Amino acid sequence: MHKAWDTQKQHFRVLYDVFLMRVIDLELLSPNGDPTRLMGQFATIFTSISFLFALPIILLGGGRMPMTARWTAEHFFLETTMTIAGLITVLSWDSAFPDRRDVLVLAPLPVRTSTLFLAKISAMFAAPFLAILAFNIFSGVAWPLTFSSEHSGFFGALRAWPAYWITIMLGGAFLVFTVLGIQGFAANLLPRQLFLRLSAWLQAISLCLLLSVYFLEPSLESPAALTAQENQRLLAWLPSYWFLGLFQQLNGSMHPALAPLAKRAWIGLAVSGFAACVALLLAYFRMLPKIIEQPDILPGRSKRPWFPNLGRSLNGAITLFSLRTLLRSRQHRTILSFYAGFGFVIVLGYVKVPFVGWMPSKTGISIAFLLASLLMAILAVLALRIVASIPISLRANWIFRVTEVRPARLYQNAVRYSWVVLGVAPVLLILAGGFLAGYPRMQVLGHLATMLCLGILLIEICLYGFQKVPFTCSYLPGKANLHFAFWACLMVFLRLLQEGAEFEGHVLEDAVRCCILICTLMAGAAGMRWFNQTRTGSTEGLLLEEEDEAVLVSLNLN
Amino acid sequence: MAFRRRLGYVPEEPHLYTHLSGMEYLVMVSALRDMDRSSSIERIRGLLRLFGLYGDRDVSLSSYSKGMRQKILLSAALMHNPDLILLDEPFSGLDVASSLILRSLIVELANRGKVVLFSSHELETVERICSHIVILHRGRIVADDSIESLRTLMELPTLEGIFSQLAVEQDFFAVSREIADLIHA
Repeated sequence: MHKAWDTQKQHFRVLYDVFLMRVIDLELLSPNGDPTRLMGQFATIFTSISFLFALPIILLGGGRMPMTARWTAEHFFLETTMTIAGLITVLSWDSAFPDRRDVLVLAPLPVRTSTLFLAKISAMFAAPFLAILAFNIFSGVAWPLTFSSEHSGFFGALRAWPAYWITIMLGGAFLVFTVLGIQGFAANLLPRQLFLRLSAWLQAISLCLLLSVYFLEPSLESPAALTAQENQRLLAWLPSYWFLGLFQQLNGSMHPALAPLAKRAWIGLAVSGFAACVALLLAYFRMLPKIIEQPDILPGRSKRPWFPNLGRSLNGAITLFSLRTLLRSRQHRTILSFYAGFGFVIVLGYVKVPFVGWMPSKTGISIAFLLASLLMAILAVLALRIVASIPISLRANWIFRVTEVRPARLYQNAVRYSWVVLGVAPVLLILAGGFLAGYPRMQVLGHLATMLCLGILLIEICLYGFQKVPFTCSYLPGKANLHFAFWACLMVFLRLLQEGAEFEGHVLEDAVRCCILICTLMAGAAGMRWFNQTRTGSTEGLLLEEEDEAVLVSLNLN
Repeated sequence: MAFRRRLGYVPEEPHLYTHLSGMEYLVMVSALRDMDRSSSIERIRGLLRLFGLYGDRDVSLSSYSKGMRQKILLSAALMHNPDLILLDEPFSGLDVASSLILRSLIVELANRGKVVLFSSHELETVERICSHIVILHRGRIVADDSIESLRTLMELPTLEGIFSQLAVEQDFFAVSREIADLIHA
């Protein structure tokens, strides 16, 4: 009996380690890429953010704040932590259930299904748990000092810590349970093939929903707002406020306005936990045979081959390959929808109040519209650049090695063409289709030409150092700081973008100024293109594997 | 780069972009090889028909069996009419009929002046279709001659015997007995 238990424990440990590492898709990585290093990078980012948030308390001390400010801070940390947990669960969507490889490898081995199940679930919970821990490691120590209830003294401060940590863990668990519940019920209720087809869309919708709620939910952290009759319906759909109520309850600082929210948090937690357990148990016992029998989405019977003419052969091949990868790879679609969701949220965030800003006007294009189109163009190109650096079926890229019969600059031209077709053209079509009728025609044409030139300039900037075919080069942790640099820049330059939109609005009023702007952008793009071509001309061929740069250290012994 | 235009290659492992269909994959390869679009489509259709894959041409490669994937690799390697064809274990996963076709195809291509270089552990097949043999052992060439010369030189009737003498260091009868004894113990 004791030996059997030891064996189960050992099986659990081995499987847990394997599944935890599988949260990262190892097939993306270069031969010398290390998943532990990648996880370490993410942990460092969260910890650094946590330290930045804790810095004001460390420098200025943790005095008591007014109630509304305190609630705002509490809500911010709870909401951010919950969103991080939710995002990580959504991003590791495929690791919720064993895949065909797990089943084929583990089925012949004497491993109990229950052990497999427990290891998978534990690994899946470990990733958001570690992210919550990293994000709160400094802020979760410093800020609860200011969250203690009035006149509670030293013991109040002591109570605030466990109250805070229990609340963030429960809040994170609520979102993880909810995501698992949705996925599990969809897997059980829908036919397997339909579930496989819908699963990617469910994931993308969940991602956009999480981001939209995080960025767009209104600020209601005052007793008046929380008790206002018109806000009650909204509060019933905002879980971060439920957990704000729960925190007050655990902290001993409960305000009557928050009591119903705390109750709702407990109910939500119980319902989501129960739903996740039922859905997962059902899914495990009912899904394992289906995973073997129907591992993948089966092709439609009446599918007609689709060969749009996309220009010269190499341009067409690279564009079609990129398009098909974006349309068919869940992983790439998820990343793209992450960026699209962010862009959508930022655009909405800017224009959510003055929706009238979108209304057509005969006097000129509204700044909100200009800003939105500017953001759309920038995000479309940058998202393509980022998603193109993540490979698909890395071991299949040998075909690009053996068919590389042209110089690298022609491949770069093909990538340039594909990004114009897949990134810039759709944005221009949306802009033209949506707004051409309402605004003065010349201004709209000027704006579209400006956006086209801006898009081309951005593509040229993105092509700097990109001597690859999209989706074919391995990914090396440490060289992929682009995501973070991109978001950091976007946040810093958002204000600048607004200035840019206002400037463009001013320029579009005069045809000459508009022509000068377009010519400037075109000259910039041409200069950058010349630079890229010179750089690519000196390289030997395509880059299909990222490698650490050789580092020579001089000991200066002379 | 020029040598790649004249080279057709089938790797040992059938790694393919499984999110594409058989037809899409071959069209992509033809474009990457800079082949004329309309003639390459005809050639691809013909190859798919002859390999018995035409009915599954629009099915995703992830649904293909190992043998079907091998046929796609062969089609991709041959469609541009290369002068040098490198085949690494080309019979792996093929059904009997396709193996016979490939065996005959290799001979036919060689007769038409192509250089076909293929590696295989199926010594009987090698013996039947190859004119020249290279045996590698621990990364070094231990034999490089025609089969007839090797037979005469080694005074052995089969390629298996020649290979065993040149490249197999272990007494395989003894090793197999030891393995059986070990798992019985």
